[in-house]
Amino acid sequence: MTEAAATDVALADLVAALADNKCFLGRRYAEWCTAAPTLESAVAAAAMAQDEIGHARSFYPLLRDLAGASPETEAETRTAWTNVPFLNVSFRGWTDFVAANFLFDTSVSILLEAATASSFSPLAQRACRILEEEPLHWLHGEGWTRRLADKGQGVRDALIASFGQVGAQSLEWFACSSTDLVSRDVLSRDPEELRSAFRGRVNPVLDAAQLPLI
Amino acid sequence: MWEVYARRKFEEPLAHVGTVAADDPHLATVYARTIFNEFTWVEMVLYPRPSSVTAIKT
Amino acid sequence: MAAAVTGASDADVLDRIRDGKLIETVDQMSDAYLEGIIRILTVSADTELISAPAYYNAARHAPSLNAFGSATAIIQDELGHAHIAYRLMRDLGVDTEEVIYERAPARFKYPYAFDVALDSWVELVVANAFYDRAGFTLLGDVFRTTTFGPWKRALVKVDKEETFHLRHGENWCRKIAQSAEGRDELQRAVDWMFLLTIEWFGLPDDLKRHGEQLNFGFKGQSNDELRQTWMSTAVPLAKELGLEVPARLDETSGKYVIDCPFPAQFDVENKRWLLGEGAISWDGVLSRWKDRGPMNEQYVETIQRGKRGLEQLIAQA
Repeated sequence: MTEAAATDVALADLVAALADNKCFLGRRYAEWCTAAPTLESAVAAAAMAQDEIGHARSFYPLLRDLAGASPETEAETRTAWTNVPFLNVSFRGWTDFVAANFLFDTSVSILLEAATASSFSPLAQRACRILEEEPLHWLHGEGWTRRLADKGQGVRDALIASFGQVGAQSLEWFACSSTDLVSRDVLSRDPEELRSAFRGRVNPVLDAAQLPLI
Repeated sequence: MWEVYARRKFEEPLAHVGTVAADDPHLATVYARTIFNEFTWVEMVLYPRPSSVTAIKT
Repeated sequence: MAAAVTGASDADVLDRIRDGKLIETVDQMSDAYLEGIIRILTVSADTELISAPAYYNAARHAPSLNAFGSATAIIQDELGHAHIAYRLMRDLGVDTEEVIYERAPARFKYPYAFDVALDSWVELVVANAFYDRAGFTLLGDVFRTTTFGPWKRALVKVDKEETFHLRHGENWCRKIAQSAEGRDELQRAVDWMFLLTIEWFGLPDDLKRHGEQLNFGFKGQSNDELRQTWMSTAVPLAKELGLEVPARLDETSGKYVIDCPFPAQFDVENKRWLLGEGAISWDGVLSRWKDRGPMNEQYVETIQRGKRGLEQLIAQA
């Protein structure tokens, strides 16, 4: 395998990871737009689901360009999904939704922030556009984290369990970056730097809510 | 409860577009923006409801 | 349903309406006005709310990620409309948390049509073309004539968005109708959904109660007039798509007439009208509505699930 082909695979894997995770995050959010605990957050869930689906839709054509057109590069026919495991199943309850919204959604944004000046300009363009929509997701995730942390021990226990699972998988997910991608300026941060940026973003909120830090 | 005001053009004054229920301004912001998304607004402002005083009523 | 204390008599309300003013607050309402406006707001709010799980069930069968996104946008609008109507009810003293999250499924007040599952993308887009058109017809009438100011103003948004939904339905129907198989599938959906939407508008005028709906200006058109308004665009749409519907324009009267036994017996398990058995009485329809249909409990449980889950966790501690 030539070096160029190897780096293309790494880049295609990164784009696939973004596409698949956005796609499944959107679908899981959508499942709760009819079941959220308030009507307002049901509307917000539907809006965020559309955002994520729209982002996924912008990544699949890029995957097609990088990996060559095949059923595997279309959202409708793809089978080799690369999303994080917790998105394979429906959220068990609202605390799972909030964990995905506050932690995993943020981790995807942290990765995209490392791509806004990417040497691969189609990725940079998409990252910049997507990040414009993410502050609202952050406000929703952060608002609900504080709210649920305040709802008594039963809710806190469920929240801590959800955050434990999703937090661990969010940290692991940063492995889609690599020193190779950083050396080519595709991304500006390697996995450890991304994890550190992620912790810097979410831990102050967790700390204030007296929840375990990530 | 929050009263939601918005305007579509800079030449226009803020107009009342509805209300949302939320414990804090962050969630109120998300709710107002996702519920009242019928137009592309240039500005949207939220006021907590009890702050209003009726001066004229007919 | 508990509500706020009113401050006016029926005569005061009618005077105010005659003066060209809108009713803004509870102290300007009579008991009958308050009760009536809460009743009609409840139907509107419940209908918008239940359409969300009904549409979501079918949206899962969307043919593409893009189509799924559009369906989610429609669901977002419907939830937003439900939110508006419930918030107005709350300002009228109704405990909307109880109404949304604690009410028994059978006590929700929305058209029977939504109790019949939408099982495919085709059925979803026909629902957009038929059911959202019914919503648009009813709320358009409320928008033009309601005397309750806060609702009238809020409906500007609703009117705009429901138009988008029925265009979404029409455009997809046109696309699907291009193939013979697509047209067959549309026809099968229309066969059960058309008459359910005709029923949606309620009792015919000669059997109708709730006279105050017109006196207090809650609505402008009667049930039969609204049914005509709906048919005046739904029937031509079906014709354009090459679909058969049991209604036609009577040239002499200029009105649409229903061309089959109506009201009729509905075999809900098989989503099929038993037209061969002839027409039934409206009492038969009312009793089917009262019993609710197969999806009622599931949809209401879905809506109440998140809140219930949190309450159970709170109770555990």
